[in-house]
Amino acid sequence: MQLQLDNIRKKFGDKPVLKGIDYTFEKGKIYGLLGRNGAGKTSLFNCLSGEIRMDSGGVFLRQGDVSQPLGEEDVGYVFSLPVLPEFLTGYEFVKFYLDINKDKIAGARTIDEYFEMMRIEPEDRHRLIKGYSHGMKNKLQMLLFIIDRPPVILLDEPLTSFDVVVALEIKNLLRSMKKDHIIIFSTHILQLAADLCDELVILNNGLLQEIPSAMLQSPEFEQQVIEMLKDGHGDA
Amino acid sequence: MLRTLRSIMEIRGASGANRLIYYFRRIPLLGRMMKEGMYARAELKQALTVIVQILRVLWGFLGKFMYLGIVIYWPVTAVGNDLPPQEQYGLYLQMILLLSFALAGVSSAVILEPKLDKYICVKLMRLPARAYMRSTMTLRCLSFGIYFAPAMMVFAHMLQAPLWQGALLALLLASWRTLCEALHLWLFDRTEIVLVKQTAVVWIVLGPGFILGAFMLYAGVSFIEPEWLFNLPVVLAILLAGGAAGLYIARYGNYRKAVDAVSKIDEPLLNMGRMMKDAQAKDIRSDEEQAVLRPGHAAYEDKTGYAYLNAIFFARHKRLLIQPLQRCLAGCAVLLCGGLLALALSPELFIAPAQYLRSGMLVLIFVMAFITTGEKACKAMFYNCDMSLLRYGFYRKQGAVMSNFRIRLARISGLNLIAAVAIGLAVNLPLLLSPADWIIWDAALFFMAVIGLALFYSVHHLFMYYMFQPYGTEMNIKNPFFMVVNSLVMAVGGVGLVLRSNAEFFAPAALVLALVYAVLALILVRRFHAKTFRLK
Ligand SMILES: Nc1ncnc2c1ncn2[C@@H]1O[C@H](COP(=O)(O)OP(=O)(O)O)[C@@H](O)[C@H]1O
Ligand SMILES: [Mg+2]
Repeated sequence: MQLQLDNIRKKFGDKPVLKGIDYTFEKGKIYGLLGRNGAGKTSLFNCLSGEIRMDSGGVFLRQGDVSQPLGEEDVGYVFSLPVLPEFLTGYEFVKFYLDINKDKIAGARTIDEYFEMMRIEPEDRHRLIKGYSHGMKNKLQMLLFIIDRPPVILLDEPLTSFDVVVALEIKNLLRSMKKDHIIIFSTHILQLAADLCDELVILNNGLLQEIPSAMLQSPEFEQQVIEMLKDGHGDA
Repeated sequence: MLRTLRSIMEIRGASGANRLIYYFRRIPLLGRMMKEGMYARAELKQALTVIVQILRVLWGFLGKFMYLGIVIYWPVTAVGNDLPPQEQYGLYLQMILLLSFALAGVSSAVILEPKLDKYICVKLMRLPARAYMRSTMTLRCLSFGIYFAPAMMVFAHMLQAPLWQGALLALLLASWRTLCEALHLWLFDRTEIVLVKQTAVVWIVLGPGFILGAFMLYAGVSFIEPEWLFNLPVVLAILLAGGAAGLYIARYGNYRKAVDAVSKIDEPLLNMGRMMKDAQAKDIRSDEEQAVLRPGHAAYEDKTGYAYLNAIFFARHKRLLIQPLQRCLAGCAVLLCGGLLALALSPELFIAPAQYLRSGMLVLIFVMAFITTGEKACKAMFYNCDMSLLRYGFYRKQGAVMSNFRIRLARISGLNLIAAVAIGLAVNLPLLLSPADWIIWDAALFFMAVIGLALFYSVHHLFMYYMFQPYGTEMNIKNPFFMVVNSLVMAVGGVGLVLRSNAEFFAPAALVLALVYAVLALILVRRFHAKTFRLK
């Protein structure tokens, strides 16, 4: 399975943010999307998830010889700022989500089993999401893609808000899921990317560049990435 | 003063122009013609500023025509169509005296009104408070009379009164309202009370005032003669008082305090961010105490998917959605008891209202608009539910949007239909039992009308929400297209029904219209939701 991005362009007003992104992501790897603040990581994810329309270009999901446009239901997207319906309890939200995806879900886990998996305490499950901490909200968002297992999983700057224990759990979870999914997560923190990812891509000046795997191992890696990023302009 | 006035006009014009550009760019196709950079293009902005100012002036005149026409002239001629013109004119003057002179004098003074404009000019742009207030008040008092004059003259002419009386009435009103402004300021100076912000007091005046107005219309008699108003001593007295008030306003020394009192940074009417938070916090807050759930216990376990979501949503917004209904039911109960009591005491009392109701069933349009829930419900749906869920792809899919829309429509219609039936019972039961000329057929028409209207408004609010999604994610400012369509629908409905306003036509028309609207809404939402029902 491959995720093919074909010449994605996006302007906000007169300002081009994505200037023709071409890249192919493969199943079985965790990709780190590295870019400075304002480089367009969130915008790229929003385009992939269908939340905003790209000006031109296309995204395809290729399985064997069949290539289809990427549908909104093929993408699980964890926002950097978690947005969840706050009038529900965690339990109710998960039940709702299970209901509407019931024909897609293979394994028959119970709601409480899912909460166990994410280590959300029983007494928290029946509290309003409104009272959840940032980390708990993020876990709940991740639960959604664990439930319906979409082929493509996008995580926008996820691990930054977790405490070390949870971060480690999430890392392990992502590693355990990667064989069936295309997982891309964006970050502006280099160490995090280097630590978790199998491949690194850099979003710079509206274009995606791959960092050769050989370079990931080299001692000058950090220095080289920073050189690459310096040429571009972030928010400045 | 002219210089101050010019800068104020420029500031107002520029912010008006910015808003215009902002919304223009959102019109499909046409909007593309305008680039982002427009905000900074000075010549264009200048031109737009002029256009905005012209529009403001036109609106100033038009608004007065609409106010006098819809609120005063039309009801007066509708109820008094068998009266001779002099008496209609008397009734018309009487309504103006009540609404524009008395009630608006209490509720609509601008001198201490919290206003964004005031905040921008005085606090941000640092115009001296005194200069700002003197200029704006001069402008206001003059333009008030000028805007009213043409409308007053036209309606006077239509009621076969001399034109000069219309013009004089505008002058008197401007003068009187200047006096009211001065009194508000004087009260503030003495007691630091900002009367227009004392909602309770304002409503204590407005409530009985409206009831008095309704009663005057209903009775259809004019108590006053035009000569009482248009005679030299009265005119002179009002003009002199107005002039003195003008002087007081012009020479008042402590405007700094008067402006500060209503433009604090935390003034909810000024601070947009705060305003939205407040709206969310107070207006559309979900009922949290409801949600303290026992662990292991879950509500509505029998429902699934969107039905489940909505069941919880409506349950957690009881205060917001059910309470108005409860109030309405209580009102109906009181009405019913009062009706039955009146029936026992003097049954003849019902004869005249029955007649009026048959020819004037149209008032139900406004009654039902007031009673039906919808707008607040949509706002709560947006801020508490859709604003977050719309970010998820599954929620934007057609199946999801449609089942959500249908369930919501059913729920809101359900609430409103209960209110409609309650009103129907409360009004019709006493009428049917009374000796008045009101038979089952009339009652059936009445029920048809209230049910049709309840359905109509339920569809309308929800449909407008799905098509225009008027709430921004940051600012709670209404989309002007939403307002335009809204008033257009009301106007078309109103005019269409005025032309043939007997109940035999109106009641079935309302019902059919509502059903057609419901079907149309379902089709259009299905067709366009991907464009319209998303976060903007
Ligand atoms: N809705 C929008 N309207 C206008 N500009 C936007 C919008 N969304 C993002 N941008 C601009 O696009 C650029 C990229 O933003 P973003 O994708 O959020 O970057 P990142 O996630 O890499 O920090 C920024 O300069 C931002 O200002
Ligand atoms: Mg971002």
